[in-house]
Amino acid sequence: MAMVTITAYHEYLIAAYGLVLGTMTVLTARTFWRLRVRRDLGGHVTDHVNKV
Amino acid sequence: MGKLRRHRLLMLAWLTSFLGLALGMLLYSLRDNLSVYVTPSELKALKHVPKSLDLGGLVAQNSFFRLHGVQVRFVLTDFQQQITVFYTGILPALFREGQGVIVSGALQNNGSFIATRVLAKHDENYRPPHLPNTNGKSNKESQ
Amino acid sequence: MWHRWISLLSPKGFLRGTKFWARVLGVLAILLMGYGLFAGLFLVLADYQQGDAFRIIYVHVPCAMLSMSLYFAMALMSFSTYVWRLKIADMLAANCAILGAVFAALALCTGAVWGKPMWGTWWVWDGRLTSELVLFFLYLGVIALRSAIADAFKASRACALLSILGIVNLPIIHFSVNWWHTLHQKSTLLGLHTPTMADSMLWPLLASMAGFCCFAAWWVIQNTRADILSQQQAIDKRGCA
Repeated sequence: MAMVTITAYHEYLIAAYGLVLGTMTVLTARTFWRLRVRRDLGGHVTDHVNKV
Repeated sequence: MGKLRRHRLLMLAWLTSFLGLALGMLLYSLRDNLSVYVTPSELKALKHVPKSLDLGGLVAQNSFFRLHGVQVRFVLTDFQQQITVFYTGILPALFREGQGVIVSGALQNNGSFIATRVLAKHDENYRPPHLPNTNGKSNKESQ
Repeated sequence: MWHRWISLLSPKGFLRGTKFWARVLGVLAILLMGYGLFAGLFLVLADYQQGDAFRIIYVHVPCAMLSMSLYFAMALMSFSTYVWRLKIADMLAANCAILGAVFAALALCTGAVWGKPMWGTWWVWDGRLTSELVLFFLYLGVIALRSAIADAFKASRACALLSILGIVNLPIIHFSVNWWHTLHQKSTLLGLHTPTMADSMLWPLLASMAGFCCFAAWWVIQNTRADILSQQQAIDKRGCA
């Protein structure tokens, strides 16, 4: 399949794709930032209570 | 399963089904008001025509005329009834003859319709331009 | 066999058991989304009617689908929380609510960006758009309820109940385009004569949807892991002090 050239609606496509991919990037970054406590704990986990 | 768990489960089932039933009845009674538009046939059947309303249908073939500038005239049809629409303004990119549109405005005493807004509907079919329509449905379907 | 699954139900077992699979999901998400979105933007031919604007479908439909399936997942988890009091289910439900709200907002925004050039308007109060907006507010309601109640036990029960009751909105969103005259078109993938899309356009869309699903699963699992870890940290601090 050959690449096609987009001829119109560039600004709408950039807005839609940018919004979605930008949000997902932020979500991903936040997740990794939250997971950083893993290192401080050094993998040790005690038994939690399983019920709310 | 313990008695307490069964009690919780039953209560949830009752609550959800009651809410579903209540909402279903509400939506059933509101079904006409929730629709965005009426078709020309539905409009003719209305006893009381509201001052401003949304009308949906297809732009009839060979009915589109540019009067002058951005002032246009076309016929809106649902293949049973038709209404002449006048509109002044920019038309959406999908507007063309045979396309489904929704016009907002007011019905005039002479039976024509003066629109203040025109929205274009598109259908659920997607294909590249050179491919024939293999979906077994008309592309003009929009009702 | 069963033992492995049951071990996932405890926070400690969840932390151990999901480590590998979360990574697999992450890699799958990158590959599938990468192919789907690249093909959608640069390989697929423009639509016969909408031209290049139709390419928004490759982000809009996955977001809309996820906003609904995350709600379903949240309701399932809430059900387990309500009936069996499973802590892990409650944590998963809380994360589903956050991600679901984000995807509902994204579905509404990308829909508006698509609607403006094609329909001629950003927004219209039709059945599909309004019921999706209701879904967004339901998510916000669940999130707000959890933060409003200080007692964790009470909060989880209240959120679970609201989530389960809100599930009646899902069939309304799905069938809204059939029940009422709407500006939004009927379903392409799950309609009567489906799919009503050329194969060359369909495969990238399915890949993109699968990729978004993997991303959502990855995100919910990883954030639940992070929740467990930060709770552990809190326990450790209390132990030291």
